[in-house]
Amino acid sequence: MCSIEDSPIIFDEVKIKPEVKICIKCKTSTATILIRHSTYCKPCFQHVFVGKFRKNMEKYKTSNSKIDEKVMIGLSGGPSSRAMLHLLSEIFSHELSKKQSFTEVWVCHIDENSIFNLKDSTINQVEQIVQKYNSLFIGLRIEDIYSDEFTSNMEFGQVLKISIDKSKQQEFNEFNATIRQNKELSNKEKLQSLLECISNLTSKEDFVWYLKLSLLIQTARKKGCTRLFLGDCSTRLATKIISLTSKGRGSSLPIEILGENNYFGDVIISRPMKDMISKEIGLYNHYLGFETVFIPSLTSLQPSKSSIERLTEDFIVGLERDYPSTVSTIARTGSKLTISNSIDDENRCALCLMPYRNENKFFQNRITLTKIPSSISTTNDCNTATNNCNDHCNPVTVSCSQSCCSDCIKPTKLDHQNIEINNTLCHACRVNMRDINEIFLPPYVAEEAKRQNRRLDLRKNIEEFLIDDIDDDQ
Amino acid sequence: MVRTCVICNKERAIIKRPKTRQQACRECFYYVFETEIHNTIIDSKLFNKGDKVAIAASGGKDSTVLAYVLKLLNERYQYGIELFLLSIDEGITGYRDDSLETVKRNQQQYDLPLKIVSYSELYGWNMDQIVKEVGLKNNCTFCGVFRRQALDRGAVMLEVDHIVTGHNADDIAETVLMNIMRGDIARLSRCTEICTNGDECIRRSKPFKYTYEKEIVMYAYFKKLDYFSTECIYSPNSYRGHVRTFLKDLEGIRSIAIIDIIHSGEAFELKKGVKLPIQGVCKRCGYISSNEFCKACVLLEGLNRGLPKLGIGKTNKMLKKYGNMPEGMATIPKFMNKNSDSVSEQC
Ligand SMILES: [Zn+2]
Ligand SMILES: [Zn+2]
Ligand SMILES: [Zn+2]
Ligand SMILES: [Zn+2]
Repeated sequence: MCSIEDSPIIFDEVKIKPEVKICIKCKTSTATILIRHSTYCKPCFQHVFVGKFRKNMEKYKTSNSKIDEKVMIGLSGGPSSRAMLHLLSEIFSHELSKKQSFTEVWVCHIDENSIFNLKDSTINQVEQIVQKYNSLFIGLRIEDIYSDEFTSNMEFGQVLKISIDKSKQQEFNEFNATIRQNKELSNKEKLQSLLECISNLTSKEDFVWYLKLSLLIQTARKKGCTRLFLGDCSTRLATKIISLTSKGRGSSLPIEILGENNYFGDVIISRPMKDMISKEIGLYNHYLGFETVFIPSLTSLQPSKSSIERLTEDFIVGLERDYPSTVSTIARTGSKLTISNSIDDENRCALCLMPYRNENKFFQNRITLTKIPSSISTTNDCNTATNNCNDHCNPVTVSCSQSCCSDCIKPTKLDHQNIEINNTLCHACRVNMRDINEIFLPPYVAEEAKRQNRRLDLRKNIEEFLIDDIDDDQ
Repeated sequence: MVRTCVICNKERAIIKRPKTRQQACRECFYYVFETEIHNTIIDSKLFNKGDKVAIAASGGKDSTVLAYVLKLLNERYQYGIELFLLSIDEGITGYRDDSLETVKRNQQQYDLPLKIVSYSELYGWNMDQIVKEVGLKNNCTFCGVFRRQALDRGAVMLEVDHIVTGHNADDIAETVLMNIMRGDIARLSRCTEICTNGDECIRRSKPFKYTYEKEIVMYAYFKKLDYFSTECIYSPNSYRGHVRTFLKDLEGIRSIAIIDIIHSGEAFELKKGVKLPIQGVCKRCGYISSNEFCKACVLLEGLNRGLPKLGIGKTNKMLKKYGNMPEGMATIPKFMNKNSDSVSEQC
């Protein structure tokens, strides 16, 4: 059946007649720049650009800003964060002379080159840029997330080893998770083995991004910064809105795209570049002669269909060319979304730190069957005695296979401790896990998984006294 | 090498399930396909015993499989519902006339009562005439808006409580993406609901919400169901075409993406203070509308006055220029729903 039921799509048609070449702002100078449907002269363009940035900064000041705030700027060295560094520094120096509102400004750069096995580090290059500004610099490598210090207690010396039993030849596998001492490999080796053991680029990109985000937040915490500035521009945010939606991350999407949010409690995330498209930023950097650092990505030189992120990026950039309001419309939709109140504060994914909805696991089993209940199946490989282990050791399949059940009953080996991780990961991260063999997850994940397991154990003890209000509607 | 079905571990696998990429035998595929739909129906409490349910039947794969599976599940699990076929004749030569023949055969094969409502009888225009008038740019808007109303009106004529449509997971995922990209917040928050039941309008639901399009085709193919497979000759605009291609590419990268998009759509929550249109009733025809006049009435007025852009562009601006609708112009018959007497009073 035809699914089109909607009202017409009204696109602002591009109506720039060749003779109209006057700047729409000052209405005197000749326009040399076309952004979406507006023509500007160079000075007016810069004025409007800086104005958009200042407007966003004003909003932060009135909403969440504390007096004497320490802040951190996440600087990849790419065009958007490069421009942000400059724009923020201008505001800070202005601000400092007027009213001491930001007492300490840190710039944090994470070098990702070990992902690509590149020898050179980007840290020196970025540090040279930062030296031009009056800020403190901290250069990290992505593999540093495996250090014991990037955890809540800042010395958590254990990692989480996860493996999948592929012998069962199933689409949906079960995880074996164990907590181990963090000493087996170097940080770099652990990161590289992580990346080698993920077969799929979509999952790989997801892992890398959340490791990076965790590293940034942990670093901000360590330095006592209460605000983290990220350089996401509106082109990037539009891409993220679509790709996060496609990865089932709808419930946490606002955290990753909103101009400001305090989901992480002690560290507020701000995105002052959210209203600029990448073309504007490119022009601005060009006019000011800013150098940017080349940052490779996992899908550089790969075809469009190599990952969801990459496909989405090509899709959005391509559409924006023909329909110049694509990015701004998507970004506007995203800005109207909010983090649900119904999400339990405890339901935070140990890996990506994002909130998730509890009912997902059950729901997934009902609409995607991968096994037939034993009454219908002729091979009765899961008897009733083991059925009760279903709930906690079997992620996606409806009924249980023998080996999985015996895994739960088997006594744990002495040198490491088995741990249940299905209840500590969000749906999207569990989907990513399907593409792994055997990986080490950093101490912060191990720490959080252990904490959540303790809470679940406690909960089990008092379960019969808890009043469940989910069924109260009826 | 003979591949074994990973579901029963016994029979020879003959398909790779598009949803999970599992290898499965024919019987296991039928079983999981039907049971997932049954679970969806049960979990969302779609039907009550004794419900009269109209299947929106176009003769295409989705509605043909829907009619087949609902009849089967109704018997297997004793839902106790009474099924009807409801078809809309949009008046598209070479497409709808042929597909209606399929619906008529389905009526015989499944032994279900059939009602056909045509655009011509309801609006005085068929799609061929509309396309002649408005061209190929916005024709799907006319068709979509008119179909929605025609289904409700047909349902009232059949005196049913409930309309089920063959919208599948791919359709819903596409709609979620479209609504994000068009900034249609009101529809975005509604489009993943499996069942819409306002007071004024007839319950409407999508039992195929989690069913993949490719699996529907697969099911129809192996069950040798009689359906009409030609695409509508009036294809949608290119923007939607881009979104559709993108979705297919996503599915190619990761098959769960389709369900994940629906999943995300369900999780979206609007900020407080975001204004949503308030549902009221059309002053002209009594159909639900968030404006003074419903979309169908405005589109029809545009057609009748030779101003096809009236319902497409900025309606108020156009009305200012050309004045309000003259007296005595043809309008859509009054919408009377037995479920809500209040509506007819307001009209
Ligand atoms: Zn100017
Ligand atoms: Zn997660
Ligand atoms: Zn089988
Ligand atoms: Zn009306």
